[in-house]
Amino acid sequence: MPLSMTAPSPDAGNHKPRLADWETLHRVLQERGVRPRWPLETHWYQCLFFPLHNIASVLGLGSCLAIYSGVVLLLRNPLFSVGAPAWFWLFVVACISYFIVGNACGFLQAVLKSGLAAETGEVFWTGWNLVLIGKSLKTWLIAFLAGPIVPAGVAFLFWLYAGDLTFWDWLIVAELAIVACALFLYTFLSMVRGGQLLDARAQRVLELIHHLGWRGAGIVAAASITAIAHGWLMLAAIQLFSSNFSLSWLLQAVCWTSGLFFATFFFRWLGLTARQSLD
Amino acid sequence: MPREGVLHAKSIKGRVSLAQVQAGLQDISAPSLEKVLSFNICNNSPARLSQRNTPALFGAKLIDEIPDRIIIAEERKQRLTWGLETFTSSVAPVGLALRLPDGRVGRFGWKAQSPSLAEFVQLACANELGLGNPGQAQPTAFNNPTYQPPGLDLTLEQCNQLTAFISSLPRPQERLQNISKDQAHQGKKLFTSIGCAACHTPNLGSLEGIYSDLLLHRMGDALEGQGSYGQPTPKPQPSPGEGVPPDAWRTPPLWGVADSAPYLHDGRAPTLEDAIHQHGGQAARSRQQFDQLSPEERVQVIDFLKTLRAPAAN
Repeated sequence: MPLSMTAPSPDAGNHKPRLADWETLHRVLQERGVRPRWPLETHWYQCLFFPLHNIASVLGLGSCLAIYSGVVLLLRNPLFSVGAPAWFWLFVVACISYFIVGNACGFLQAVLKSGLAAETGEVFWTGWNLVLIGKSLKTWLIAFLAGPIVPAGVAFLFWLYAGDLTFWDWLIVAELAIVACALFLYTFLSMVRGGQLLDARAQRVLELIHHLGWRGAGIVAAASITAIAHGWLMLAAIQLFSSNFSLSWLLQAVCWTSGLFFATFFFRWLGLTARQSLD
Repeated sequence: MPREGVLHAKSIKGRVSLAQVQAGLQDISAPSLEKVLSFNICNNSPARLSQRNTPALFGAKLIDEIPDRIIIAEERKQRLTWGLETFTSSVAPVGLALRLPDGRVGRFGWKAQSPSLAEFVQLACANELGLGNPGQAQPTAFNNPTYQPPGLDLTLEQCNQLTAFISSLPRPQERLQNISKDQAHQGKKLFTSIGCAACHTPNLGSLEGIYSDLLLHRMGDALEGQGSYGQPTPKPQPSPGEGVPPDAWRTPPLWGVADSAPYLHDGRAPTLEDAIHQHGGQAARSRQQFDQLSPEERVQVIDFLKTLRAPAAN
């Protein structure tokens, strides 16, 4: 059920609310102050302004991700040389990933929710609630495991075992990656819209694809191609790390920021389109 | 460009003088290879010499049958394991599958310069034995670059027969010779836990027990060695073996290692423990882990390696 703008709770301020669910989060943040607002988008290109309206979040998260990925790459060899048990470093990396990557995932989920709810104004997202971050990461993970893992796995195994790839081989890998990405977006949209784990089922996803029609397919395809292109750019940046540290880090920063910008744009557009198609 | 070639240790006989190798080199009768190498360094000779250890050939057919894509897959797995690190890393054991100009992957030779057993045999016949064949002409003499041999020494059929004989050699085996099963098992576990198996992978594709990824790895400055098996004349394009860094060596299969001393590319390590202690570069971390083992654990690792035997005589 899409979120709606409700009046403040009568007992607001009497006790500290638990921010462990999206509805409470929205209510509390609404009570705390007036958010800048602008008219609801009516054309797709107006959605390009949405990331600009949330530029603080986009730039902040992009910078954090760029610093994080750069530091991880920088510490690859020293971490290996120090010789602490692998599980220790995996634990440290997992904790930091949970917070930084989880924040980005939670922000994008909030963008999609805002589109589904036709909300105007800045996105409701607080970056410090670890429980909400965990719930968001759970949604992303289940959305990936529910279906996209198959074409993604096939693409990975094909790349791994096909030897030196020709142009046509790379085309196959790219197509499988785009299919995986598109399937993920549909599954994720279904789960965010429905709010339940069972919305990741193939039946629900197929219904959603049918209702969204060609317009939805076009948005998802464009988003998938953009995501794959950014993934390619990130891999190139990582390749460059050993030989040109500064350029590699700059490329990573551009990739993360640009990726977040376009992800915000596409999620907003998809959310609004889903609301119009399904209501 | 300085000329490079490979000088077989056994080719230095009493009657051959170094002046025939490179004009201007001092004539030393019956030199040992150590004398030749030390002379080369002291006198700043333009001739660069590098010794090579003869590889064991048991199981060569099985190596020949490994598809290129399996070796490339191993390279990719190592890159993924070590955070997309590249072959140029001097720390992480990320190997390189050497692509030859025709796109095939090299797998035979210390620099992985040969993509197939047949070509490896032809190359060895020409360069080690001076037997020109359809696959590889014998090297041009340094002191007589215009010399043209009157014909080939081996026909293609003879080369194929040689290759067939080597292909018929059985594969090495794992045998518990005077070593307890438990000792060998513990040694194998330690072999993996200290990182040896990162490069000396026990299985490659469907081939079990090879203990090699057949990739080039950087082994550190102390193990540098150049030289190619191509024509020892200046070339505008690098030939296989010349484009790789001087400290990069193909991971030698450890199957049969107990019966193939001495070790390393030039045979400088008489024992297995010596060989381990000379690992550097990408293998330095594993060497350090080995040194940090208790004496009993080090013995277990060596005992495990001693179970990797040449095929039995019968």
